[in-house]
Amino acid sequence: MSDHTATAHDKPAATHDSHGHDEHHGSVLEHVKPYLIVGAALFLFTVITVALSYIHFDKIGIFVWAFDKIGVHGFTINIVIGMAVATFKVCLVGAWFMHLKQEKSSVWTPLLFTFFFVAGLFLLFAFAYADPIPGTIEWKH
Amino acid sequence: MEIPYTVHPRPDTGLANPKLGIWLFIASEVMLFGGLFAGYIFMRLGAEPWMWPQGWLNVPVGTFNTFILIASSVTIILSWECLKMRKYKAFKAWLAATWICGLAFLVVKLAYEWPTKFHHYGGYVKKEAAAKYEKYLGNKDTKDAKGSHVDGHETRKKYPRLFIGGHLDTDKDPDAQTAANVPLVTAAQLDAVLAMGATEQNAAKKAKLLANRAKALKQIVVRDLDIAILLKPNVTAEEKASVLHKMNTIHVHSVDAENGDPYDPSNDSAHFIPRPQKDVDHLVIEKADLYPGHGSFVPKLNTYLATYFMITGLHGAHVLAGCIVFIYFWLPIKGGAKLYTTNHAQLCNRIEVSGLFWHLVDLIWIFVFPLFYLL
Amino acid sequence: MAYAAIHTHEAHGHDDHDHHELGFWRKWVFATDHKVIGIQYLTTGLAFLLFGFMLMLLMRWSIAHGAQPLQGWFGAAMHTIFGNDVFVLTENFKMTDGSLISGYSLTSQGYNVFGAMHGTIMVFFGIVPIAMAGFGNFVMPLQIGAVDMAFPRLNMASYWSFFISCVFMVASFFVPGSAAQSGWTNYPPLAGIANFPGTLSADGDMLGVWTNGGTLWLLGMVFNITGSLLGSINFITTIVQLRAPGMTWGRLPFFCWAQFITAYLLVLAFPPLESAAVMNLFDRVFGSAFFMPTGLVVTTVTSAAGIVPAYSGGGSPILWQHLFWFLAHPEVYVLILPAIGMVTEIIACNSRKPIWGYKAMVGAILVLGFLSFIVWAHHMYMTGMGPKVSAFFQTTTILISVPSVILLTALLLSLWGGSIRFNTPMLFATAFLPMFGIGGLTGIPLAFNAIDLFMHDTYYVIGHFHYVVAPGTIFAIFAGCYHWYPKATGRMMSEFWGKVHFWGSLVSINCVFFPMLAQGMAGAHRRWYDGGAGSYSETLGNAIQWNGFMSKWAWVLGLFQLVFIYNFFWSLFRGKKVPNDNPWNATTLEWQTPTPPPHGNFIKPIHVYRAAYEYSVPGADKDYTPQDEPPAGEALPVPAKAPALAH
Repeated sequence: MSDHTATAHDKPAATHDSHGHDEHHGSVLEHVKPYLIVGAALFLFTVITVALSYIHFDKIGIFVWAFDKIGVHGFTINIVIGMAVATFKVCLVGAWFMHLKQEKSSVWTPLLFTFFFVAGLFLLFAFAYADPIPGTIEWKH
Repeated sequence: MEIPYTVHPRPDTGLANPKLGIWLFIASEVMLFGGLFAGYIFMRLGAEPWMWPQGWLNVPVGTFNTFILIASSVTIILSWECLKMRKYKAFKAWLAATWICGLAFLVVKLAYEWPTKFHHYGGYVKKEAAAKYEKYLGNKDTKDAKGSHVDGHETRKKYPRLFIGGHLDTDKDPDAQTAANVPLVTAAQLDAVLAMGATEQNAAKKAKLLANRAKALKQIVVRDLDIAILLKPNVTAEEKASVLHKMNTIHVHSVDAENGDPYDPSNDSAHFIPRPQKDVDHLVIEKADLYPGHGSFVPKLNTYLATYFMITGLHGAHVLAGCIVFIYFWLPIKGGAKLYTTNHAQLCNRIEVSGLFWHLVDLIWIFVFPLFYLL
Repeated sequence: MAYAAIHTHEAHGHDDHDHHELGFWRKWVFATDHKVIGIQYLTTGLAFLLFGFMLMLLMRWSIAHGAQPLQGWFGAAMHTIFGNDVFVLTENFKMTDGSLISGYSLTSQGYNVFGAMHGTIMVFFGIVPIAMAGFGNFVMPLQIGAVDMAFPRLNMASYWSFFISCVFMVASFFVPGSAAQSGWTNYPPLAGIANFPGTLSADGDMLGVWTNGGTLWLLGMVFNITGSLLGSINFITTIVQLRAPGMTWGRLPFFCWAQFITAYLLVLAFPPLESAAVMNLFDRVFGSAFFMPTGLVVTTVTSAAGIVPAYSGGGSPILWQHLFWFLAHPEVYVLILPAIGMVTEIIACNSRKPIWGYKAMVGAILVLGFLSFIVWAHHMYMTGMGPKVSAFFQTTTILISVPSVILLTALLLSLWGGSIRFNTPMLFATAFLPMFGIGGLTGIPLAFNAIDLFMHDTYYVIGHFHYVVAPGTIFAIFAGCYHWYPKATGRMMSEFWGKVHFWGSLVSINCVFFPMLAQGMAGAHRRWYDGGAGSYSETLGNAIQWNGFMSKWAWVLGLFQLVFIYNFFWSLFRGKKVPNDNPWNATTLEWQTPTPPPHGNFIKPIHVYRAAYEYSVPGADKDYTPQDEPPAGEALPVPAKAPALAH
């Protein structure tokens, strides 16, 4: 084991490594507690997603009223809610499991652009879909 | 000269090389699946709402797969933490748990979910032929709570159920699935194919035409036995007709619950627990009664299955790649777990970076699961 | 301090790196050295550039002379290579003077094959591998003072993935039905049904499910894209992580900036095309209908008897166009940015002056890279896009011309007041500016919906983008070849033959492309295999006369490229030896290495003290000050090691 400790000492001062390799403090459980909590939350939200998909939101007045404000009707309400839950779960995975919470700007910046361009991909597709010259595009078969 | 290698972060960017590399890879993967999901959205928007299938996938199995993928995301991060804290045994155990979960996911997908679809059959009955299959479609009336037949409810009137589906008897007839996907063939068309090359004088051309005829027959007649009958020198009209009839009919030995009890309105929505299929003695569907684009549940059937197989297939390929990488790191070899003693920091990097990839695989599934199974 | 401490432990733990002389296979074939990989990309790319060019020469024959057969051994050779699908025996073809000739004519299907493969090969197998992967691999790590790319083995994987894609593309010419026919844009529904499995080739062979031109094209593209992605990830990581001490972002040579943005464009724009290619593969191989609208009929062997293999339908051909152009517009900047980078280096070096507006240029390519992602649908005005969407894409497209003009202006102003050395690389680099200018300015009318509806798919469009990529990017590539050749080989290329090559190319390439602009405005459509002579000669009027003129100059252009090929190989063995490691008296780091650079690049530790283009600094003892030259009178710091590669 002396070999390993030598490695640890050979490292440059680990100031830049916030979740660094400080193996001398705390128990495993203490370290991994946040991950276990997030994992449990992911399980819980999976159950919630499945449960939500059996509720017909378009039959519930308050939802119909609220989603009507943003122009969403019918089963689409279910899709919006389901996707919102999924996005929340993805944020949990990203923030905790992938450590985006404490990641460097060198990681953040390209990711922000990526999300921007993915959003562009979806939104501009939708934009083009929603604004055809009548009679020129047969969107539906 | 000696080319130096490093496992440590560069001070001014705060990143180790592989970590930046994997994040860029993740960015490109986000764009890749962005394109695929854009395809999904377009396909779904382009479909008639009532034609976009719901409840075709087995939700409990999908939920189970979601659970094991999330669990594997937790175990890989536990493995990494244990590695950093130099708990070798725990590190190995959690890593093994990760790739076992990954493989379990693939087994469920490839040994159960996909094959059940391949042996399944379905198609849309033409409106003019719907009366013939009314027993399985149930568009005229439904049952009320007491079980007596009443006038059908609104949705069914507006969007009549035209889909008929069930299981093919692939045990009895291994070619049933291929045969079901062949389009309708008339007697004249069959004769035209059989006549290919018959009058050709040039020997070389004739050989090519006959080779093409053999390939064409395999495509439309499928079963070797039937092809042999058709190619007999003294084939009778009855034999030909019987082969043609066999080609143009589909024998379904158990039908979906919706077709099994079409009068139950609850069959109109998706189901958490899949309902049992109902055995039928002999449901014979004529290809002539169906819209084109019927067949077994493969990408060819409709855009829903096409996107389903493509996205889950590519996702599955990522799971497989992740499993291979984890097994490589888990095995006591030079680039794997042996690094624990030779270069601990490098192994930490490797697990962290492959773990980031694994989380990506997980979060793609988090979108795939509701989109395909639930919504 | 941290730099110095990095390697103490693990550098000694691994004896598998570079302690022994590498064998031939590891050194030149399965190489991990960035310079060797760069040369591999360059040579493969140049070979494909030549191949794509020759396809074009055959197309130009068809455009100028229609079905007039190619006679003698040449026609027979073409027929032997490409088969009956592309060249068909024509006997007693009647010439205008009434004489009868026999030979092999290019079929209209063959014209489509060449059209599709010319575009694909030039863009994805010629220019990007040369300008980005070739020069980027060779020059960029040297310029930032790195010992190699950050992931040398990934670099090798990138090249070999590209190589597999090359094999697929070349192989596709030799399967029944020949190569893909649906254009480099591969638009469905044609892309779904051209070379369709189950149809018959001209020889009567049935096309296979996998072995047909269209499917092989898609497989080739999937490998090509994968290789590009691996390469770009490597480029970005290298530039971010492996800059030598002192090489701040502000001191980064502009070529590296251009490579950096280009790599980002590839990383973020290529994956949607990869997903689209997979969808199209599904359509072709598994019969799905992502891009296949309802009611499509494909003529196969069985459908000759009336049996129609039906698509389920419901797919959207427009979806392909969106996904394709989401890549392919940024791809335009992938083609041009490395070229601008190279030209910048060469202009700065040969005008003995710092680049005018370095910061503005860097800002311009950042904006250019960003905007290039949201302009794609200006290629799709004809698909029935409504006025709102058109207005959006029109606006962004006009916006993107602003950074392009900043780049061009800065480069032009860099020449002002310089003491210019007109050697061959500089000639090509200066010619790049007006050529790219013509290419860029002719694009502006196309940005407007109203004009584009008229110009769409005419020769005007062909002229426009060829001005950008042919006398634009390819001139820059030639400039780069002449400029960095001494560094890679230790010998100079011949100046005399270089100038012959330059003036010949400049004149003939303009004679090829300029008439296209006029012809396009007269209404010549880009996909007529006979140049419009068959059915549209009245519509075109006199403009049809240009077909023969352009074709002749295209063959002249080809002759002048032989000069380059001769010069390239002659100089390899007989060229003048370089007088020193820095024959052009340049400032950037690639000239501060031995010639050719050894594995590991630098023999001394590199520290960067100054900006990239310190030419003619007032008061300096010579007219260039290399980036690693310490300021006068300053004590040398402790030499720091260069940042290290990924493990």
